[in-house]
Amino acid sequence: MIQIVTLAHIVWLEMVRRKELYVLLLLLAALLAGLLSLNVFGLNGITGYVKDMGLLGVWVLSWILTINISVRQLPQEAQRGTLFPLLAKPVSRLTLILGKWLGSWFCSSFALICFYLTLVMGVWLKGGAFDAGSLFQAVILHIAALALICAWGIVLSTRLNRDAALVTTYLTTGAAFLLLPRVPAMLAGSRGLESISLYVAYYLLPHFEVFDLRRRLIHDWGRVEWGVIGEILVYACLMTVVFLTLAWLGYRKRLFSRGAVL
Amino acid sequence: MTPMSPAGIAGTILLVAWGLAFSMACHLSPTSTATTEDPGITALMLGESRQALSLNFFNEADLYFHKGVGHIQPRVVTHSLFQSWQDTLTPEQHAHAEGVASAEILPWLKLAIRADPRNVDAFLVAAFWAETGLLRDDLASEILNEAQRANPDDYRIPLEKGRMFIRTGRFDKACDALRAALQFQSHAPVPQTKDLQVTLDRAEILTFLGFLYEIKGQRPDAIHCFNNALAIFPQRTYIKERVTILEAGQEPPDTARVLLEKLTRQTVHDACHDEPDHVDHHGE
Repeated sequence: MIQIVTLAHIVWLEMVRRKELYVLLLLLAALLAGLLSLNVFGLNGITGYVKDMGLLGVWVLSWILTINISVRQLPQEAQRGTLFPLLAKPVSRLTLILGKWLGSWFCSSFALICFYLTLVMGVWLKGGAFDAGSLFQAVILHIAALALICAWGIVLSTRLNRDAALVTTYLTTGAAFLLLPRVPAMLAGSRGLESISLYVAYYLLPHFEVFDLRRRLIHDWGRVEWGVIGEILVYACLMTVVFLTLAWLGYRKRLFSRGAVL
Repeated sequence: MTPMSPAGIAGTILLVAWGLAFSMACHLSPTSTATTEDPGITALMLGESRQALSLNFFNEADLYFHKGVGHIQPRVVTHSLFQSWQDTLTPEQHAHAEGVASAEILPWLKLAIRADPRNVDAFLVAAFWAETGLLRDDLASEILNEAQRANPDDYRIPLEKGRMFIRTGRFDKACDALRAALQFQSHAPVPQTKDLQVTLDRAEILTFLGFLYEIKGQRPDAIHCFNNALAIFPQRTYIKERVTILEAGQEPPDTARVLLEKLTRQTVHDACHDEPDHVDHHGE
């Protein structure tokens, strides 16, 4: 356990050193400043559009940061050659994967909370507010979604180089987020092989849309029953365990040649 | 005095020409009354795709009108946990934003207008919301004036102004606006796809004008307008009957004022009554 936490701490230090978080925070602040300066026919107290676009910004930026952090961890260790002393410690490959996942998840979750705080401040400056309970639920589910994205990024990075894993993670998570909620509607007009492939994708790919409470927050639909939140969190845990197992299976027998990576 | 070199002469001519062009530009820009064709930063950055962006913002306004609930689409019930969660997270009740809440629609319409100032529908809907949702006639009027500046030849803007003046009882102004709408419609080229709407609008303008002339006591003008409206839609029996009554010099049972009020009164709920997924349980 100490080894896992130590590895996670190294990921944290790396994020602080790289200053990605500050850049993304500045981007979010710039977006919010632009939204706050919009003159809506001279009317005051309109905050829906700030919440809407701000939350979209938070989702997009956290998605970018999470994938970037998680996908680079393993290929980077191999490329720098630091993987060999690490494995010789001895640190098992499962520990390495868990440490890298935990670090990536912690860093992206920390960044996410910073993003949400910036957004809350922006909305407050415009004279609006979020429902605290709904916001808490939204953040909890968002953090759970990041756990899944981190795990999936690590799965792909066990067998692909950094760039390939990065692109593939963007594509698969983006497609899952945008496509899967539309599958039931697409199934209504499909037959045969098309219908089968849609069903396979529907049940196989992770459903990120169930972690997205943006519309509830923006339109003040109120809190979701905690039972449903609990079920979604259990789903997130299960999927994360499945992905981390896949990552371990893909990594445990992988051969590294010092000459090839140095 | 030594003669100037050819390069010097060319330089002087260039300098004078530049000065002249600059002075003319300074003079012409503020005095020009021609249609502004300045594409603006959005057009420069996005080109024609700004129309798609504008439409996207316009659709977002519709989503806000329905309190975030999208239009119901046919779908397969998968009996999966995902669908059950999704149904819990995203209710499908048909609800409308009302009163002050309707102000939340306006930023999206503003963005739609910013993205494409030629999107007249965005202007009209924004004016409609300002007037009926926020009860701000002044703001609606401002929006319509801005629309007119960006689209000086579009008849739909004076038509909307005419409706607004009728609702607020300013019949003389309404008459002027509707006459302008009629003239714009006669002269401006109209996209083919909007032909039916243009015909409907023309009949509406003529009917409104007929009632307005009635109020002003100008019966011959009123009969002329009603007859023109009948030429477009001969099956409209209530106009036919009214023309007969007016030509006979009798008083119609319903006054023009009452009928005008009925015709121009449109609530926020009427705005989406024609939608296929409309269900009558407004609000919460």
